[in-house]
Amino acid sequence: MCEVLVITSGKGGVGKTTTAASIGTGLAVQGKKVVMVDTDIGLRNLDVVMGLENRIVYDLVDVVEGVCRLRQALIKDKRYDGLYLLPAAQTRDKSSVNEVQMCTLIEEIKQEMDYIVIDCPAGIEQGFKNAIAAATGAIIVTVPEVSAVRDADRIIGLLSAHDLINPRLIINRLRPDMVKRGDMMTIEDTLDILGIPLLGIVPDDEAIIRSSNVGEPVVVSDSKAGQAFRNIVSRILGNEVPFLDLEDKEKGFFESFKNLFSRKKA
Amino acid sequence: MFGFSKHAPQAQSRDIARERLKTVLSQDRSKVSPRMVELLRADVIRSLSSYMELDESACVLTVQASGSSGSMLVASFPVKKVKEIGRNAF
Repeated sequence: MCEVLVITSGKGGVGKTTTAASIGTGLAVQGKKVVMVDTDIGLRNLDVVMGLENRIVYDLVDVVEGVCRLRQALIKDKRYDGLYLLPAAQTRDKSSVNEVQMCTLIEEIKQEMDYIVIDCPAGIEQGFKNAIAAATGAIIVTVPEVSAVRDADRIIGLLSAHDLINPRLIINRLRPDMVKRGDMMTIEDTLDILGIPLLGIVPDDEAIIRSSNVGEPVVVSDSKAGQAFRNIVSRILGNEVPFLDLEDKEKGFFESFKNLFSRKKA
Repeated sequence: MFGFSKHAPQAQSRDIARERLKTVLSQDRSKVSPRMVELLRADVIRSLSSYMELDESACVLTVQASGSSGSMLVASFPVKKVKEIGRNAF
């Protein structure tokens, strides 16, 4: 039974593409057959985050319009066995594909695959509708900020209207130092407000930018964010994995040491 | 020690964010739009005015979340005087 996971958020720039790339790659590394689908037609990015931008010949719109066969458009990632990418078109827009076409396409991809990971565009218009059309599960990515959480809430409502039950949450860009100072909403705050189960927490990490600079998904990097994504993949596969302790204990010690000898400014 | 000032703890920005989010989501999730609330308020004042004189500027009509997806209208209308009609109708 192939699972079709849509990675969505509502708000742009919170980490959907980064997450889709890492979850797709992480699942393949665990031996699964995975196709990642970029549905952000006109503003494609999954290809560049994966470092596969030079391998694109055909794209999703070509397949839907019958210009080529699915096999011709799928890019096999040479680094990770079992991982494929179906890129979005760059010179078209989201009205080029509709929900029915998406469902037909996904049905065809399902044939030999274990997982399909769909990178959903920001917004709630046709791109979003296309991305969720054939999904069996949803992962909502948010950051602990007012606008992102508000949009995530709207998405949760829209998903339930579409009968996509059991969406799970990834809280991205957490900054434990800010949480400690009371300047960022806690994990509990966010969960309390959105009311869906937590799939994972990813800390704000420079490794994410370094990874995308070189076209490597962060899940394979030796970093806190990488470990967080590996844990998320493990949970998707059904394992119970305790959440990372994100507090930098060493730094915490030095911070309090430093404060003993300096007046706290008002 | 001189120079130390004990100031009351200010509301942390995290707390403010959380409260604002709860309010805004309550409105977002509500099926009653702010425009509709305004129209309702005017309508209710008009209806009640047949029976009583109201302090219109102090009349408040709000929508609150009720349960997981329901809404509740809460009215708070100060009455200045009950009119003759009102007094004799019951």
